[in-house]
Amino acid sequence: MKLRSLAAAVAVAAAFFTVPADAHHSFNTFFDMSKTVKIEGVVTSFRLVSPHSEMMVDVPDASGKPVAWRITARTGAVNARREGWKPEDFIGKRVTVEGNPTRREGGTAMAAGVVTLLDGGRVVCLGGCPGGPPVQ
Amino acid sequence: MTGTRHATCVTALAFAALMLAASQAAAQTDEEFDKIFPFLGQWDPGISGPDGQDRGNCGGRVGENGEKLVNCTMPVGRLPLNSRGEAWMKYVDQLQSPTQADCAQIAFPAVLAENLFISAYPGRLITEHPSNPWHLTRTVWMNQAGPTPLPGELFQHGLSRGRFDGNDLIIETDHFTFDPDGLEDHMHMASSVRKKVTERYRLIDDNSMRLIITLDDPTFLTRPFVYAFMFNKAGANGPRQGWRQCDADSARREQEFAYPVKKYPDAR
Repeated sequence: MKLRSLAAAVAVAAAFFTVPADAHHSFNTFFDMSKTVKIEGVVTSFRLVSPHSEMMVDVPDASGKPVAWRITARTGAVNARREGWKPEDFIGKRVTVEGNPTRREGGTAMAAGVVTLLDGGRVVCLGGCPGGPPVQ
Repeated sequence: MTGTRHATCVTALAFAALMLAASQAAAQTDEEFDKIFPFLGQWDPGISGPDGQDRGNCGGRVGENGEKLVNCTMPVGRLPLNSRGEAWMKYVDQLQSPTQADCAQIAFPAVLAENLFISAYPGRLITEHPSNPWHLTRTVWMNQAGPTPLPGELFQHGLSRGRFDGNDLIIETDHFTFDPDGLEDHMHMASSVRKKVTERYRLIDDNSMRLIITLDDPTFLTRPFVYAFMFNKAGANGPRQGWRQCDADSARREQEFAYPVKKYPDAR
């Protein structure tokens, strides 16, 4: 019975600790990880969600018309919050984003990569770069 | 008299059922329960790290755009798909993948390549599988305790029953629903209602454990497929986990914006 009590105590104590694991998503299917692309535009939304946080950026085309780009962060909601990302720090800000482009021809999406806020120069790694969160 | 006899008979049957249930609940002895103790806690397969185990590179299989599929959850190169299985692989497209497009939880055995947390209670174990974007929790009924499914009653993650074979913990799971990503969710290989997953957990020492998985599904495999992972005890020093919830809108938008091909032009 002693063992039972100890087992229950260990179970309860350790229930607070587990390691986040890899996602079951092949970035290589959606994005060409051997190429990089860089865009400049204004952040319209930044959602800290799983499986991957999502940033939307309006990028002007040749005629100046805004085209929506979808930026897939390489980590989910838990690590995003752990990194201290706050949507309000990004929304409405002009940024450059550098990452791996979608394999879709003419597609407006990428896996980032590095986001640089042009006003102030803050650099944020959305995954897959030094100093960033664990890739998921 | 007939009514009294009937009532007596029903009472006797109910009593017998109650006694049977009680004996099943008590089927797990203290000695057996104590065998669980070294299995309890958090286990890490070490797959995420740079020196982690190679859980399989999808056996050289390529996606619809000719891209190499990577990071499969098992050594897919040896997965003995039968002709139906190969036909599925030709048919499948990723737009219909429920784990990608609809936030469906990842199935057993794929999720077994993730971290593992085991806790124990009389008559049952709980295994937890934190896997972005879900934290999956499973009840394993020990020594024939637990529910008896009705004929044809099926569950997304099956019905798991556990027992000890010597000091090895055995978990057998069946009664799965059909799952388009049920055998492997990176190559998107389906599993049928005939899928059966047998997990054999064997302690090597206090901090090391081998998990030997036997995966069978006669609908798609020519024979049972056996593979294994090593786990290290992670203790209480691992990062604190957080509950995860998949965002289906975002998952679908990823396909809408980034998925490179449309295999079936008339399909949504």
